[in-house]
Amino acid sequence: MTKPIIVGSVAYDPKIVTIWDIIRDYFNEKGVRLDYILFSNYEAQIEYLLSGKIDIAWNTNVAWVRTYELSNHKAQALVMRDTDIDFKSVFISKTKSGIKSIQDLKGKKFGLGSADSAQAAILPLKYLQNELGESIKDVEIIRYNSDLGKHGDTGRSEFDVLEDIKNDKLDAGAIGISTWVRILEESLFSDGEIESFYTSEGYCHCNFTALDSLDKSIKKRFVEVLLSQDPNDPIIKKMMQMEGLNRWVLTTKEELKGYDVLTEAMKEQDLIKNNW
Amino acid sequence: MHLNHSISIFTGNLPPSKALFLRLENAFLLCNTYEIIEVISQKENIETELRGWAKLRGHIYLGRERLKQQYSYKIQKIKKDSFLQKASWGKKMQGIDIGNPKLKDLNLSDEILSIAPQNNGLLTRGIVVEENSPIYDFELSHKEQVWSNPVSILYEEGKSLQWNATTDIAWNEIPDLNPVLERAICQIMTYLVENEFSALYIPAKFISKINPYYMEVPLFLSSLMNDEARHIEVFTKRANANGGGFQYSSGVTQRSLFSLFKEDDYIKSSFLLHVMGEGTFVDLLSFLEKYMPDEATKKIIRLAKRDEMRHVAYGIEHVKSAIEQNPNRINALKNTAFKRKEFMDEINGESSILLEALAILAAGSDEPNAYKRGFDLLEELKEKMNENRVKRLVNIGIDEDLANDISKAHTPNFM
Repeated sequence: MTKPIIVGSVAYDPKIVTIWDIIRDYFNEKGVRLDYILFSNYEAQIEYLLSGKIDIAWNTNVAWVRTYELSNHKAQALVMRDTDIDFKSVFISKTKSGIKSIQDLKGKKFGLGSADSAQAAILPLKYLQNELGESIKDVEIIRYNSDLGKHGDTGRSEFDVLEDIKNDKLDAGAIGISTWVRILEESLFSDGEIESFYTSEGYCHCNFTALDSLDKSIKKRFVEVLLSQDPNDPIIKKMMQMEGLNRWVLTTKEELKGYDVLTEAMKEQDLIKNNW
Repeated sequence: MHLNHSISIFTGNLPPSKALFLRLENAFLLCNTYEIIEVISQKENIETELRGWAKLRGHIYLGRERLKQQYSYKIQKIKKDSFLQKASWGKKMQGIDIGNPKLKDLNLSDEILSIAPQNNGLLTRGIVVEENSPIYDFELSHKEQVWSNPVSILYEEGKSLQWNATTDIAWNEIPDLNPVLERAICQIMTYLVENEFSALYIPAKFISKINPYYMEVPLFLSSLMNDEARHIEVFTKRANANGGGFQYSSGVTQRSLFSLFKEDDYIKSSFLLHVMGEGTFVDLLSFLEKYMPDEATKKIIRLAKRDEMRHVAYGIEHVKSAIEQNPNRINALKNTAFKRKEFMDEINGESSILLEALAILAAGSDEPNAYKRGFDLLEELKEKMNENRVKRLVNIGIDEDLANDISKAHTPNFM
C-alpha cells in the first residue's frame, strides 16, 4: 500500500474535523490515499512542512509567505479557494464619528487585530504607513492580539475590535472583508450605525502549499482530485459552505502577485521568522 | 460599461445590512446562471460591501454607474441554478368560489408519478425544491406501495364525520346494568382498547416512511389515527362509566396484536390490519351493536364502526391497486397471513376471557341455557366473519379457493 498524502491543517474550529473528513473520504473514494494532521497553530505546521513531516499544508497567506521565504523560495502554492483571491481589508468606524478617510484618523484610536493576521493587522498597518508616512505616530494604535497562532482564522481579534468600536473605546479599526459582510448580514450593528471608510487593494489569502521536493506526480494528483470536487454534490457543497468557498481554483502566477504586498509588509515588520 | 440586465432591485436608501443582503440573496437564488442583476440604490458608495458580498457568494461584481438621482450597481450570477423549475403562479383551485375546496380538487401536478422524485423531501407535488436539498430516502416512494384511489374522498369524509367522545354520547343515559353483564361489557371494552391501540400504532409506524409526494395518504392516515385515538378514548370511558373499569388482557390477544405490529412491509401490514383485521372488527362491532343493552353504548359502537368501515375501504382499495400493479403480490400476502397463523399456532386457543364475555353479552346473562345460546350466536358470528373476509379477499383480486384458505388462517383474535 502506498503511503497516503499527508495534509496539515490548523484546527481553529471543531468544524475542521468534519471538513477534513469529507475531503479525506472524497480522495479515498477516488482511489487516492490521503490523511490529515491537525495542528493547533500555523507555526507548528510550517515547521512540519519545512522538515518534510507533512506533504502539503493548508496555509494562511502569512504561513505561505513564511514557508516560501524560509525554504529559499523552494515552495509552491498549488490551489486556493475562489474566495481567497482579491481579498480585502476594510477600515470601519461609527457613521457618526465623522471619519471619512485615513487622514481623519490622526488623533484617534485605531484598533488592529492579532499581530499575525494579514487582514486585521499586518496589511492594515502597512496601508496606514503608506498613507500617513511619518504622521502615523499621530494615530493611537491599539492591538488586539487575541488567538495568536491562528493567523486571524477565528476572526476573534476582529470581533474584539468591533466590540470596542461598538462601545466607543475605539474610533475605528481594521477587519477583513468577509467579517465585514458577515456582521452586516447578521445585523450585529443597527442599520447604518457603522460604515467602511477605506477599502484596501486586493491581496491573496490561503493556499495549499507544498515544497518543491515533493514528488511532482503526488502534487498533480492532489490538485486534480481537489479540482474535481463538484460544488453541486450535496456533501461537497456542505464542506465548501463550511470552508467558505464556491469552488477550488489553481494558484497561477497571476494569483501569486496577490502575495507581494504581504511579503513586503512582513519583511518590513520583521515577521518572516517562524517562532514556534 | 453596457451590460444587459433582466432584473432590477430598488433598494432606495437601504444601507449595507441584513435587509439589503437578504433581497440580493433571494434575487440571485431565483435567477438563472449568467443573469445580471442591477441594484438601484440612492447610496453613493456601497461598492466595497456589494463586491465583498458577491465574492463570498461566488458571483461577479461588475461595477457602478451613476444614474440621475441614484446609482446602478451590477452583479452577475455565475453559479449553477439553484432551482431547475419555476414555481407555478396564477393557479386557483376548484371549489374556492363556492367555499367548498376539497382535497380531491387540488391539482398539484399534471400527473401523479408512479415513483416519487428522488429529491422529494418533506414537501409535496408542485413545490419547487432547491438543488442539493437533503435526500430523505423515504422507504415508501412508489405509488403502488401507498396509493388508494378514493383516499382524498375518504379523507374529506373522515373530517365531515368526526364526532366527539365527550359530547356526542349520552353518557348519563347509560343504565345500571346487572353486574354480570356490566363486567362482560367492561371486558369487551378492555379488549377493544387493546385492538384500537394496534390500529393507532401501526399506521404511525409507517407514516414517516411514506413519501409526502403522495400527500393525500399521510393526511388520510393521520385522520385515521385521530379516529383510533377517539375510539381508545370512548371505549376507555365506557369501561369506566358504570362502576366497572378495565378488565383483563389475554396473552392470545397480545400475541395476535404483536404479530400485526411487527410486520414491517406496508402493503402486507395494510392487508393484515385494514382488510383482514379491521374488516373482521367491523363484523364484531355489528354484533356488539346488536346485543348491547343500552342506546348510549350502542351509539358508541355504531359511530366507531362507521369510522372503521372507512379504514377498511382505504385498505381494500390500497391492496387492490397494489395487486393490480403487481399480481405476484398475492403470494406475498398469502404467505404473510399463513406466517402469522404459524406464529399464533405456537400457542393454542382463543381468548377464553373475551369469548365468554361476548357470549354473556349476546345472551344477556350467564344463566347456563342463555350462555349456551350466546355461545351459539358467537359461533354464527365467526362464520359470518369468515364469509365477509372471503368476500373482501375476492374483492381485492384473490381467487375464491385461496381466499377461503387465507380467511381460515386468520387469527382467532378477530383483529
